[in-house]
This record gives sequence, structure tokens and C-alpha cells, in this order.
Amino acid sequence: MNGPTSTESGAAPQSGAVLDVPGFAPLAVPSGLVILGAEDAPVCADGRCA
Amino acid sequence: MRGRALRVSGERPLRVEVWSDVVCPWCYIGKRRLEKAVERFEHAENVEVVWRSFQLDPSHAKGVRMPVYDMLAAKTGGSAEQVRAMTDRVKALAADEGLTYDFDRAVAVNTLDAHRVIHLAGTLGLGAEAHERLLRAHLIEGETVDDHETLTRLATEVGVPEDDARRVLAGDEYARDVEGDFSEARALGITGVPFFVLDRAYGVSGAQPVDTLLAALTTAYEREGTPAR
Repeated sequence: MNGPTSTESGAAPQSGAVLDVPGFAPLAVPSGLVILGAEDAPVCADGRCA
Repeated sequence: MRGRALRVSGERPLRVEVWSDVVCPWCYIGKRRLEKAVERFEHAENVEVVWRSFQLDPSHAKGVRMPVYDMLAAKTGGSAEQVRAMTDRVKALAADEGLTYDFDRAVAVNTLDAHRVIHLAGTLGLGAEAHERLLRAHLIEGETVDDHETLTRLATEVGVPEDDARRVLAGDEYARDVEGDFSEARALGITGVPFFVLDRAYGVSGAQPVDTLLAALTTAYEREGTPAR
């Protein structure tokens, strides 16, 4: 998923954009939130914990 | 960690919402790491942390209590050895954060009433304290966190008036707030916890390292524009 990056303009990225932030791997934007950090950090879900 | 922001004139607040369950081992680890990140954050005084309810298993029958190991074996279909291996990993990482988990004593319960008590505490500015106390009670102390007497005692320990706790537990107050938090989580695409939402603009999933959380705080703070409320 590609789209305009926003780090220079400072504007909030549109849903579906890829944000390029130093120190983070570019990640797509689901549901309006820009997701930061590793994709595989441990979570608990569905009553189970990874 | 403070529950309300203290703003220095000319600086802006940064709101961090954390979706978490009181029976969630990764959530307690994530909580400690967030606390460390905030301590190191240049604008720590501007950070407001709000704890949001997320039941990992809302289908867990109310009143049913079972040892966590048995529950995990049933959920995963794994053997006792496999379940212990899985929990040994999270126990070791928790120990790195100063948390001594005791899964031998932990009791799996429905956490709706626990979250209702946390919402009550939140109205008194004690939401963070209540969430911390209940995490500790379940993961470290082997307390049964759906038992009303237990919840009343734990709530009063953090400063909630006993009569208020008993009144809430006797009825269904704050059930809608708990459901509301869960609905918001779904709307934001949150399916696992801990999940950190910064100014309703950024999301961080899972028990990330302290440095990652600190970088996220910095990114969110330096973002232009008015923080979402």
C-alpha cells in the first residue's frame, strides 16, 4: 500500500498511506491510526497470550 | 504514573490510552515499560495515561473459575508441558520488569466486574491505581478477581470508598462503559492487548521495548496539529 508520506509536511497521514518515520519500519495505516513499532510484539488476544 | 496531565504553559498535552485486561500478562509488562518510557520522556509532565477496558475473553462464563494452566490448555489444545513452556517465557520477561508472576496460583475468571470497578475508580482519579492493583492481584498474588469481596477489598486499598465499590458490584453500573471501551477498540482495529493509542493518531501494539515506546511518545508529541480528544 503506497501513498504520500507526511514526515516533512507534518500533516496527519491519510488512511492507507505509508508513513516513513526514522527508527520505525514503514507501516500501512489501518482505521486511521498510524501504527508504530514492531509488527510482532507480544500480545494477548482471543483469551490467549503469544 | 499520573492519571491527569499537568501542563507547563506553552506545551501541549499528550494523551496515551492503553487498552488492557487485568488478567493479561503482556499488559502488565507493557505497563511497566510504558512507565519507564514516560520517566525518560522529555515532556513527561505533559503525558496523561488513560486505562481502557478490554476483556480478553468476554465469553468466559460469569462465576466460573479455573486454574489458568487448565484454561490455557483448554484454549490452546496444548499439553501441560507446552502450556508451561509458553508461560515460562512470559514469566521470565516479567521478572526482567520486576514482576514475579505466579501462574500456579492464578485463577481465570470473567473480568467484567473487575473492569467496572476500575471505571468506578477512574471517576475518582484512581483508574491507573486500580488497574495496577488488579493486575498484581491476578498475576502475582493469586487473587480471584471476580469475587465481589475481593474486588471490594482491592478497590478500597487504592482509595475507592467501600460503599461505592459494593454498590457498583451489586448492580450493573459501568457495564456500558466497559462495553464502550471494547467497541472503541474494535473501531480502532484493536484485536490484542496491550495496545497503546497516542493522541488518537498513533497506535503501538503489544509489549514493545521501552525504547520503542519512548520513540512513539516523541513522534506523537512532535506531530503538528491539535491532539484529538
